[in-house]
Amino acid sequence: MTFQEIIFKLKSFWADNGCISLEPYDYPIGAATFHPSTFLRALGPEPWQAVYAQPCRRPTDGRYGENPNRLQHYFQLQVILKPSPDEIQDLYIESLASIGVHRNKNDIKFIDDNWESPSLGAAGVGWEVWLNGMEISQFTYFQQIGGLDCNPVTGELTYGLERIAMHLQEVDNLYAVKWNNEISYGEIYLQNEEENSKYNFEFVEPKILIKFFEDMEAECIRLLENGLPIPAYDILLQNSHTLNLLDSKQAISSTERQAYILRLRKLSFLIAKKYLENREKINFPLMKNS
Amino acid sequence: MKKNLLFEIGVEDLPAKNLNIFSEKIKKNIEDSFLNNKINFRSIDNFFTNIRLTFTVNDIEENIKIPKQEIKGPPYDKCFDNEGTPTKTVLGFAKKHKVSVDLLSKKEFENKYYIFYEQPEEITKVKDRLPHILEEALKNVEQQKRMRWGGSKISFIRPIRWLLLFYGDENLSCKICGIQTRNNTFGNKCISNNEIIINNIDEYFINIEKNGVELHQSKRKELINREIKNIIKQNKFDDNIDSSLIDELTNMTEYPHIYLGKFPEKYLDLPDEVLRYVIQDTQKYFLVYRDNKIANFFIGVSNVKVNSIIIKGNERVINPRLDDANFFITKDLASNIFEKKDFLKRVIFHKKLGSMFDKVQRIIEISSYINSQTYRDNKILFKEIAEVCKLDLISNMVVEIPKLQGYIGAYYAKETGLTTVVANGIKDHYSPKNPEDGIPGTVDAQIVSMADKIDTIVGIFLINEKPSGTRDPLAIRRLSYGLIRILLNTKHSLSLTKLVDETQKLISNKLTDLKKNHRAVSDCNEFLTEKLISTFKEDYGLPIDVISSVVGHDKDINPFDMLKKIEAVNLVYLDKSYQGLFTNAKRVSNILKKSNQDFSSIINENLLRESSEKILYNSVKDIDESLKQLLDKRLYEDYLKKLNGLNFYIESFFDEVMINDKEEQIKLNRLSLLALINKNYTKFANIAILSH
Repeated sequence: MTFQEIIFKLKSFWADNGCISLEPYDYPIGAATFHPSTFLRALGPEPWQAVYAQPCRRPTDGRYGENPNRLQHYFQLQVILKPSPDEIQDLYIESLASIGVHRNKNDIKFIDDNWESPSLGAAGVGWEVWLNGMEISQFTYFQQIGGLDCNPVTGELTYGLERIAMHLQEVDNLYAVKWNNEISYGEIYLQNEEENSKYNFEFVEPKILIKFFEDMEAECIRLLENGLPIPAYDILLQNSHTLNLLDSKQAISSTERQAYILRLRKLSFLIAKKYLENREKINFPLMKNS
Repeated sequence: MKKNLLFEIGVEDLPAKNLNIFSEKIKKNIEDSFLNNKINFRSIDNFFTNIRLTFTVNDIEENIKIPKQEIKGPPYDKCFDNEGTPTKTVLGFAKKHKVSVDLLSKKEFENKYYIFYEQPEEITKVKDRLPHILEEALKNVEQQKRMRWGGSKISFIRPIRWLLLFYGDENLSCKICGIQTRNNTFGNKCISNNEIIINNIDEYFINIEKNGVELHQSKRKELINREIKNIIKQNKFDDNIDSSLIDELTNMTEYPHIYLGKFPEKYLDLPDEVLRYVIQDTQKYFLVYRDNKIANFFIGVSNVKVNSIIIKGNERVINPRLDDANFFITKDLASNIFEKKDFLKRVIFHKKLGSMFDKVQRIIEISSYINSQTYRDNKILFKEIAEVCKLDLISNMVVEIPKLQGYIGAYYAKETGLTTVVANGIKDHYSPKNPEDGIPGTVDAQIVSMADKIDTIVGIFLINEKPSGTRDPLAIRRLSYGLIRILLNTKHSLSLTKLVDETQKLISNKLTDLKKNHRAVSDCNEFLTEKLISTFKEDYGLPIDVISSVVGHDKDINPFDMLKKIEAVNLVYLDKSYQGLFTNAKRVSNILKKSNQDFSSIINENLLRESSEKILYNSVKDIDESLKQLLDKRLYEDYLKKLNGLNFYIESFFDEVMINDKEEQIKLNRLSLLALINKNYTKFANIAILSH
């Protein structure tokens, strides 16, 4: 099964099960959880079911295209189910079957793993899902987002698409993964890995980025003061990525990094609160679907 | 009629590590609740897999019989007013027992009249109470992180997906924690996701076994063990296996299938701890050995029948991980971390306590101080260890796998040609990490280990981050126990009070922006004292009152010296021939306390009138010099023995002399004599508190 087929099949499986099929977000983010369709929609009482594939960036994971398993730009398939349905685990297992991973032929394990994102003020309880010893998914019940208790609780399923493809195509090098039958993952993304690794590790200019971070932070607060949590959230995303770039350039010590994370966290709390207020003002319109 | 109960909780995968404890706790809750409700039963059994918690209660007596009993109420005269109308008092009593006042009766009890309620025999059905009992048993499981799911109001360790409840042959339909019980369950979900209807308790056990579940945890464990033995035999591996994973793996499955996987031999050049970390800790496979060396194989446990996809898949995961480790080690060795001491400036120890570079500088100074105080190691290798002990923190390998700190440093040190003492010191200075761990093997590593630990402990207090509840940044509880154990095991007398003080000065001098924290030192000493007391109690089995007679008394915290004192007091404490010593100490101390003054303990010999007070004074004077010597030599038991010899004279003094003489001068002189004796009694322990 090709890489693109895996995305098609998983998306259609979840669309058939009531999810709206969304597109990726247009800012660089470190994980699909940062997509507003997850972070913001997990807040408050309104139901929400969505599926999307999301390119993610983790600058420090770059390896100049030389490591067969690590990428600074990769793909997650994200499923958000709010409230988490009773049969969520069965659905997940069925979704794997839809791409040819059958539970009776493979060793699938749910290894407990509690998730936390300090910069989003978020925490959840759940598992890493192992397929024959390889972690292929994260399965999380959000308990808190932006410092607020989740009620109802959102179930989040995140598939590591490259790993699943490597398993299905039985290849040891992710660049060898077939995107479709003509073209490989490497042919599309190898140069991207090489150039961006150089940027992340060598060419990041800390001065510019630190100033950008400061300016954007002020901008974010100004937007919040004007009751605009959605654009404020976009700024938070940019600052989160900026921080990751500073980190990969080793431009900041771990203490400074901690301090920056706390600043992001503070903003995420404010954004969550304001977003919820705005939804409440319009009487949580999606409640009609519950 | 006696009945059995079956209660199965279907859940999404439970955390495997403490599943045993978790199941036992619910079992205990059910048991306690049955007992509290006066329900008779024979036994409770618990079973668990990764997705089910099953409990059976056997031979339950169907009815709860509360026998007829008389309940005494308020005095009769408080129950009715002059007109005979019931008062609030009696109405309250009646309400409490849910009866009307006219059903109460008047009876005499110990010459007084009271109102009584004759409660008739009451029979309730166990069945009616079961839902409540089971719900409570699930709610009260402490020490487990709970979670919420969906729109549920309740929380549990993982989402509850079904409940099966049988009482006798009856499927009890009720709601527990808001979840409706059912008459069906699931077999092994790896095989099929079909519901299985259950008609009675026996059928439950038969059906789920038929459907691929081994419900008995002990049988699953046996199965894993047996299969591992077979593999070992067939492949001629060593017959020893590190089974620390076995419970976790037993808990992670409904039915275990065992397989043997392989990895390329070239990875065997990796250090053992790295192999162990990758294979055992992260991938949860059993390591196997040949000729006491790790072999290039691993044993895994699968949820489903093993096939080549499963084995190949697992092998495909382990290779890149080992390859990564190999890549890091090669890179680290090529760049010799031991020549990059300045790199530690970039590694943060604690944001308020500076970098690891700063810490190492302090460790060197504190080590020198400790050495000058007691160990007096002439080889001064501790300095060399101190300088390199944290350098592996800058290695790629430790950045990637922090758990390997110390171990990797030692490995690199050996590879780079540093001496064995220094190499091992890098690893050992972290010891003891836990109660089972030994202390560092050489004097040099012991010194560095203590210096490193006290620096962290004092630092934490200086920045106001002392542990509270479960919060213990940098784990200073563990560090304190480690430090104390090193001192006690090596029998070195070192004052922690002074050490804390030295360390505090050092940290405060170097970190000028540290805010003044006046209580830090006393809080730190108090904290160390607490840990010391519990070490004496837990590790040495010493009685707490004997411990407090010394620890509460001494201002200077010197663990080894205190241990000697406590052991001396403890030896004589239960010895009958020393009873007088403790009694007299208490008597003397009480008299002095009552008089409420301070005495010079300088005696005017001319004022000693009675012969027994003269004799007492002389006998105290006689032993004065030898007491001093015994104390200097720290021969605490002999000291107490010597003091014990005074008993006869003290008792004669008390028998024959009136302390409260008419003449104030004489009275004061006598009290001074007691004060002099008391000084000897309280030299190193407050033995007065130990008088029986």
